[in-house]
Amino acid sequence: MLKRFFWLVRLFGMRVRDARTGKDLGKYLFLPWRGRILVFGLGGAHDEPFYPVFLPQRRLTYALQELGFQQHPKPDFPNERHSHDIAHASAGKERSQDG
Amino acid sequence: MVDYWTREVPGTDLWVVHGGNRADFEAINLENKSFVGCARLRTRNHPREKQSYSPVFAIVAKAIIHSPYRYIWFMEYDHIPLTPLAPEFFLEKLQREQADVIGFRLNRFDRTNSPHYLYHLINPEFLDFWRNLSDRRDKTTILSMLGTGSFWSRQAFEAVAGVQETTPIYLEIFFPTVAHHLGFRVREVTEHNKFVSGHSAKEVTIEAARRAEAWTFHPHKTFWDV
Repeated sequence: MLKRFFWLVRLFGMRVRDARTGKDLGKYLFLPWRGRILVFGLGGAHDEPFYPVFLPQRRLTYALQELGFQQHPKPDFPNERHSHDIAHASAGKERSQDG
Repeated sequence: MVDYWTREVPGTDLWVVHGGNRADFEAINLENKSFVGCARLRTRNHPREKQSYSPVFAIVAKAIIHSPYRYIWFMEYDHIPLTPLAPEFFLEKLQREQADVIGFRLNRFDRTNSPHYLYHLINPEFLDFWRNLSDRRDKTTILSMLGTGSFWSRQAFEAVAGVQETTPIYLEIFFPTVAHHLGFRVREVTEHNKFVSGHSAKEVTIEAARRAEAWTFHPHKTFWDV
């Protein structure tokens, strides 16, 4: 059953690419359903997650917008611990060592 | 396993946290050991049951409270160190990245089609948890990191171990995201992702990993049976 389902996604699915980087994010089958879109994949959404985004358009048109997909860049956030230490000096959000 | 770790990774002190049966725990020939009987640890379908390592982190943080360790290397039993220099490599990477936590397969999940993220999103307390905890400007960032092995500064490890999991959150989301929202810097050991995976792959063997000078390998469920 699952094999047949994967076969359908492979045959009729659309190759999704990151709108910014062009990276291949896998094959997905999009099915309009009661005002939503059901997204069937091959199980790759965990390793290559993406989010939908309406794409910028060169020409102003009221009749057509393009929906694409993007991935977050790899996490590269700075350490903000110093400000945290000060903010939490008396806040007590974290559990004490005794549990 | 204890012999292998002691022999192959001499630069580390080992602490075994055992979540299996009591008799196996008693048979472990090591002074530094703890038993965890928590149901949140003993899951079968880990993401669906939102497996938690919070008790493990809390136990270890408490156990080493008077010891002068500066770094904690967390490893599941089937995540195998392949070189005695692994802890040095991790430390060098941590320092080079100016990070507080490094691990494998680190991704940002918020607003994506990640099945783990969407499964947590159905819980109304999930986003509130981060809103209440976070000191970052963006309190909606959700990270995920493979839970099998990670390398921590002691400060980050203790801070994360001290956070109470007031709503169930799968460990692969909980630890990197808590560290992030407490202000710590979490980075990925990207170049070694291929040797450390959630599922075994035919084309990536432990022999191939050794040949490629991988630091560690996961998963190898039968390594200790030999």
